[in-house]
Amino acid sequence: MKNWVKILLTISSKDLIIELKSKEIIVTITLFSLLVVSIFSVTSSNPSNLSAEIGAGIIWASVVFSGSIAMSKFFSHEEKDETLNAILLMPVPIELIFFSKILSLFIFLTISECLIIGAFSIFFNSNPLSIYILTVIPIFNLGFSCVGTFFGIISSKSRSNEILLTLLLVPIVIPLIMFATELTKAGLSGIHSPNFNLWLSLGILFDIIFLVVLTFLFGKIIDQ
Amino acid sequence: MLLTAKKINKSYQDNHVLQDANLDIKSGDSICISGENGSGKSTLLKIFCGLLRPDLGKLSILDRDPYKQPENLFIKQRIGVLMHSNMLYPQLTLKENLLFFSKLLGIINHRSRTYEVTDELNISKFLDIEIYKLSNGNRRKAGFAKSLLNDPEILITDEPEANIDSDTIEIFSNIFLQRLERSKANLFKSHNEKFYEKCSNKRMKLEHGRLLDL
Repeated sequence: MKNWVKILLTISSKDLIIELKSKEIIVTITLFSLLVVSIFSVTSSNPSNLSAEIGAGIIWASVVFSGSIAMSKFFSHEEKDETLNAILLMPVPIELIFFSKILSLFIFLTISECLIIGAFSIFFNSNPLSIYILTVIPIFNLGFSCVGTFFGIISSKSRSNEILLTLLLVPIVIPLIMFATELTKAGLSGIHSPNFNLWLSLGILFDIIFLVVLTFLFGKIIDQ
Repeated sequence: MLLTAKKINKSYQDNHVLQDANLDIKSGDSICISGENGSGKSTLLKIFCGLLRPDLGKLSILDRDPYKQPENLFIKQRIGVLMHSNMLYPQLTLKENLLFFSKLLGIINHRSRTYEVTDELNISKFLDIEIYKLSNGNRRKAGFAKSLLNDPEILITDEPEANIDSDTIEIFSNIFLQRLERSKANLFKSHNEKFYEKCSNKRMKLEHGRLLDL
């Protein structure tokens, strides 16, 4: 078990070192999220008085699209340099490779969310940080990274991988987006959501189901 | 027997690349596979190293089933692979790449093994240089170094001599031959006559999907 954790951290820290050197994903998500938030800001007639519903939509639309761009970049490199094959040739269980990629994407998504929340606070003069959004972030990131890793690897084989990944990813994570926007809305408006427990259960259930099913399917797909 | 393949079949849609291909590899074998372009040599090597699954046939490596866990982990720990691509991270330095893969291979003295392999291939001076900054020849050497990290029982290589100069071909050949003295086995594909003449003690040709002794 200790050894598996070590391998998981070895693979994920390698992804982070590559990113620290190339800064490719960070630069992409920074520019993209700043662009999306600023477009919403300039098109809004009164950015300081934005409704919680629209605010939550802006935050999660930015996260979903900048996250999917980061994912397609992340996996297209692995495909181009055949480095995923190199890891598959190593004595590492396939499930562990899947989990290590989820962990790396989880970290990239968290960085992207920090940037988006920061940009949102500046452009809309509103602080979205609340217990709600802090609860949402880890649950959303786990589910989104899990589905993103699975489809990222599949779509990296395709020439139009960026479009394909977004097309595959977004419809599946709609329940997760609904969960995230509902709770963020409650955080932005300051009004307690009566369905907090229901939405929280939905988010956690999504994560559990997709983590179990996709871990199983990932092994099968790679085997084939 | 280190590797036994029986009646291996593989098709890409209607193209039957491998048809009942049989092969046995024992300790001390250094087998060169030749054949026309598109005859299925790379496909065969990919099946043996676990990157592809055959449609039909039986494969046993180190007396274990490569399609079962944890048996396949035991096999992967004991084979070395160098395909067409060097399969290295271009943004990482040679040292970072080799340390990363040796950690995954579970090599205890991973630092000393990294230095040992790079010394052997005469690439120690490039240890702190990113792979993308290296020449094609040095990248090939780096890829070869990676495949030697675990001192594999079977070394599977696809044109290891591609992009390298004659001095390096000499180094590669010596490594191939030294491995045979230690009862290891090599399986490779090559179009370089000088290289395969020196490195192989058995030659086979892949023709119409079947492996024939030469």
